[in-house]
Amino acid sequence: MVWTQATYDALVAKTKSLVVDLSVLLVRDCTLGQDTTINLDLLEYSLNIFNGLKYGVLIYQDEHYDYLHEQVDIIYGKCRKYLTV
Amino acid sequence: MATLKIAIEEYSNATNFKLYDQTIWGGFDNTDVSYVNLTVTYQGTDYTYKLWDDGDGTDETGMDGTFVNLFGDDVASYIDIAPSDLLSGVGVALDAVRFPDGYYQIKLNVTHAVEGAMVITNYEGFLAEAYCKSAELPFLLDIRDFDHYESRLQRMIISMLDGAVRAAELGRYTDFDAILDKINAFYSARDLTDLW
Repeated sequence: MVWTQATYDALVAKTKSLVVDLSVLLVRDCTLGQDTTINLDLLEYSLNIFNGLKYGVLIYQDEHYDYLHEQVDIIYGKCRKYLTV
Repeated sequence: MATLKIAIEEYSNATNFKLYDQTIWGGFDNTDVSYVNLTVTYQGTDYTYKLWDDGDGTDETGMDGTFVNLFGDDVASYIDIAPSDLLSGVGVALDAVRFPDGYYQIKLNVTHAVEGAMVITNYEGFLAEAYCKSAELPFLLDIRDFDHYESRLQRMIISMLDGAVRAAELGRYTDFDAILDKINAFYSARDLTDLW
């Protein structure tokens, strides 16, 4: 995928939504069962991606951008059954 | 055609927020601006702060010919907004000293000779106090009894603070509220008292 401001903005918005959805999921089930533990890991991983997007914008290459996009998709896939988005 | 764009950054002690103008003006001429007004909506009440008005001479920005945007002569220029600057319709300040933690709708109106009437609204989660409280985490570890469960709960709350900020930015008020309620319940259950 070619890196442009528009594709970058779309990925930032998608990652933000993911962070919020995972936070809401944790609010619903704060008891640390296995699912919650996994969701906490996913939330922290999503926040890492978000921070990477936020602070790394100047160094992004198409290849790096593809990698981040793939990571977000993997997290979506992992918790698809819980998320509303 | 310029599109108004602003950025907000709350101070970590909640006494002010920085208001940036990130509009790409394509050549800024301060004489084209005749009116700038800030409206902050908090808990259903509108608080306003008039920053510029040619009509009555209001000038809270010092805007002059050197300015490259509404708030200064540098792209990183900003103005500080205090809660006491923001007054409701009956003249009551939002707060005397600090912005209470919560969900804020921040709107800037600009009247410009070329662009006409411009407006932009940002949604922000101000969580300075909650973030300061999180600085007390983790609690002192008991060397004889590491509590992994409590440790993960504390990590979860710190991560959820970021989740709440993002929820506000996306305008997801209900989710912001739910996350903040959980964070406050966690602090309350651990006797983390209000800081201000």
